[in-house]
Amino acid sequence: MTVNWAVFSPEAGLLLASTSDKANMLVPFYFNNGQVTKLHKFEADICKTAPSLKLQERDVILLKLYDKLYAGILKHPQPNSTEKCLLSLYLLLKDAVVRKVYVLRLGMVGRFAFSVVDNLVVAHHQMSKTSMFFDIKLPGVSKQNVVYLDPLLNPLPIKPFLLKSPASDLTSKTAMTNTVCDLYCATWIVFQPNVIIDAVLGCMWYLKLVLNEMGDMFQDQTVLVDFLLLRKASKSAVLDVCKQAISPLHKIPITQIASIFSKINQRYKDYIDAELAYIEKCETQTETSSIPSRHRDWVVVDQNDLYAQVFFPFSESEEIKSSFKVSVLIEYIKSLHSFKVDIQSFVYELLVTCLVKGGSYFELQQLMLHRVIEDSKEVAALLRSLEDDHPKIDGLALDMYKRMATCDHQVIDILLSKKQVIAAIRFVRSVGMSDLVPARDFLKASMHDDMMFYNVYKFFEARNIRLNGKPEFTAAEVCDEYMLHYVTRFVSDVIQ
Amino acid sequence: MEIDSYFIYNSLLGPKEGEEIKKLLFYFPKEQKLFRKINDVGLCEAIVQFSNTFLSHGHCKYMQTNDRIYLFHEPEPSFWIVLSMRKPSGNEFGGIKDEALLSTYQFILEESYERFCLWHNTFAALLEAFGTAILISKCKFFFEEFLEQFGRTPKLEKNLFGGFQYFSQDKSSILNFRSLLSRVQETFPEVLSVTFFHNGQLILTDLSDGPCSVLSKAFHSQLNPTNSSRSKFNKKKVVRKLKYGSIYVHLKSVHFPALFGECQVCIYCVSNFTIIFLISCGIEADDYFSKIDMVVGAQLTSLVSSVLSITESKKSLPELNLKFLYSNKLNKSLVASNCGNLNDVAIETLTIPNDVLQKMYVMHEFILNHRKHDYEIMEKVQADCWLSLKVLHGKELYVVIHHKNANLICVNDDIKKLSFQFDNISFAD
Repeated sequence: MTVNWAVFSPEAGLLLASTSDKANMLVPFYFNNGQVTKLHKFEADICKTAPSLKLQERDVILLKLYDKLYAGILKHPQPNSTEKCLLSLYLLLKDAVVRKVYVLRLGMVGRFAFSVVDNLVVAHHQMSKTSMFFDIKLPGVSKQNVVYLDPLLNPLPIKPFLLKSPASDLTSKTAMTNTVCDLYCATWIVFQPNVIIDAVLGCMWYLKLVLNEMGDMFQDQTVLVDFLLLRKASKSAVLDVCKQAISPLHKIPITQIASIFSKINQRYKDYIDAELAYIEKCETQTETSSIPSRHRDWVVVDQNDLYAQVFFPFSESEEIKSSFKVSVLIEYIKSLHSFKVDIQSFVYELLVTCLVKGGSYFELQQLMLHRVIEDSKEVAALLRSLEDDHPKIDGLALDMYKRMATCDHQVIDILLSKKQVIAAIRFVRSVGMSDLVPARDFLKASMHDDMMFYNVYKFFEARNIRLNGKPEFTAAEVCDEYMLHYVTRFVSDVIQ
Repeated sequence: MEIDSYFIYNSLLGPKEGEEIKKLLFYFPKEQKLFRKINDVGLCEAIVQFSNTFLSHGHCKYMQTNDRIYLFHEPEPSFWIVLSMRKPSGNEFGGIKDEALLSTYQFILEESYERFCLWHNTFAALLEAFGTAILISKCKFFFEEFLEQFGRTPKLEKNLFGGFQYFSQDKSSILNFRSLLSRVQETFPEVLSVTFFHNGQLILTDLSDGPCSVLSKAFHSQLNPTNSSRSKFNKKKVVRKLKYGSIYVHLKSVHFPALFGECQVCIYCVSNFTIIFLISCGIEADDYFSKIDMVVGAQLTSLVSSVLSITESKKSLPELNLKFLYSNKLNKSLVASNCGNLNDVAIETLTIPNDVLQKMYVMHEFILNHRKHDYEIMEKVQADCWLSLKVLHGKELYVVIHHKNANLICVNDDIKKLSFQFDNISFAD
């Protein structure tokens, strides 16, 4: 075999050797544990109509994207045509035929260098001094099993770098000179995955992404969220996008806000499923280190994050109309519900607060009736705290506690606080707690009404007879005050 | 009982002697002699003023004479609506029953005013804007027609309990409706409110309960596509056909003085869904509704199938030999037995005998007046008919059981079975 040239990826242990006249027949060799395996060879797609064109070494790169290895072949267009350069990505697998899976449309002609940053393919174009990036996980146009991708943003230059170096004159030791580094110059050498070296300046850089500054560059916020969720450590940037999306300054349609939530929650749901599967596997297997836990590196924006960073400040804002606040929270709840994710009570609490603050009592009643707001102790407690100032929601907390069936003490509490002592006793009897509740609280709450007090007293007297064999309260029940009240109000009347 | 007269006056108009007729804004029947009309106004004014001496707040609600009962309603300061009913001869009309029946007729007073306001605005606003003559003519135009609907002997069956029949849906479809509502609010800022109905049953609204109830009563026949028209206001016909839905009421002017002022109603239907839009004045553009249709109609059409499948799979109430009526004051829900396609006059379809119905009203009135939170009563009303009422924190459950030789225990068992059906709250404390 005659080898024209070869490229090697130390990361993946893969050598790609070029053979044939046009240099486009490529043979991958895989190096592992001191063994060399020859993988399926493949023919790279290059411009065929120009017979003089050969595949150059500089037009071939080995890229590792999302843990898979790809061979990138830069395809130059036919001379004098209007076509532009394309980067074809061939997926290299150990035991399968190599095939072209992605084509990145570079939109320009000339020389390109490529870097990989955070699984993004960055194409640097020397002539225009710009770079553009592609993400193979974002949607493109599919043709014959090949996905064609366009750059995510219009070509932009790399952020200029200011090189600080000691001043050349030695008068002051601390004096520094700032040199603006020339970008995309001919002396640059680009190494995989993200190293750039300027041979003249003698500098080496790592190319990095500044996610927080990218928000404004994207026109479509939903694409931005997709993009950010695929990056590492992008949670704060995602939260920033959410904050912006629902701020009154950025008039984003509610449907778009809904699709942002849907993207975030899709990832959240995937994470929950992966974590549950992981835990299940850990329980069955003794050797837990072999179980893949890659999902733990994902960027997941959960309900706590959104509540603390986005929704809470949003709900407190005076400038935003309460109907809009309700709409946004409903979209979030709808999205979580559609992914069958259990919704935390604090999300409902926020919704209740927004509805009550906006005076939408009837809407709150409707949402409760249809169980859009699910019963929980926290929501019930919130409703109870709000009902004094908002009489129109009076009773909702009581109903909710009653439905939950584990909150009998709270039900009794509410009834006693409303001086509905007979109702409280009926409730106690219905849940079989007659022998357990403290008589003191009931007697205290009925002091304002003689008739009620008498009835309550008699109820507990009967209980005393049943439990202790005598009508008097025991000392432990601390009811002396009420026994005295009973005697003065009722027994002494009889004596007189 | 028969309506003897119905009149409206303003005690501040015509203050001088001999000008009393100026106080009168409307009198039914119009054939009545002038002398009698003035006399009636004078009598009512005097009674109200006299009784005020003994009242710390509110005003006299009704007056009973040998042959008549006068009911008073002051919907706006100094504007009085009075309904006088002629007592049937030889009828015993005493005790607690009176009050309950009176509140039924009080309902006519309140509803007539509510409806007048909706179509024409408040008396005071009309008086200020157009003067007495126009106010009088508007009153004549409206109230004559309104009273005609009731007839001389108003029926008892009118829904005294208030509230809505809710179209019960699962969480995700309610969220879909709420989300659609948000979209309408966002896309059409002129739309003041949106209310969704399905076969006359309320799904969701962003209005508060009062205005929603006024609207659903006023446009009652349009809300139920299968219902035939009864009222003169509510002639059901398609005004305009759009791509997805149809418009039944096109920009009819209405008034919600405290909420939006004057605005316009548009009723739009897709399949069995009816939507009431309240739109601010000044919208005329022809393509406005086409745009609404594109947003709402398309979305609703996609919701129809999911809604229908849920409705079909819904569990029905247990087969019990009883009739019931459940009313929740908190969320204004009203559930009645044999509810298929029920509208707001649920009780009519309950086929409860009139005397049992009267008893229900008596009980209802008693609960209302005595502010009972927790109450239970069972009464044998006829030889084979029991009426039971359970009250629990704003919820009332009336059960009518026709059961020969039934005793308290088996009646109670039947009621217990039913008690868990509503709002998931047990009534069986």
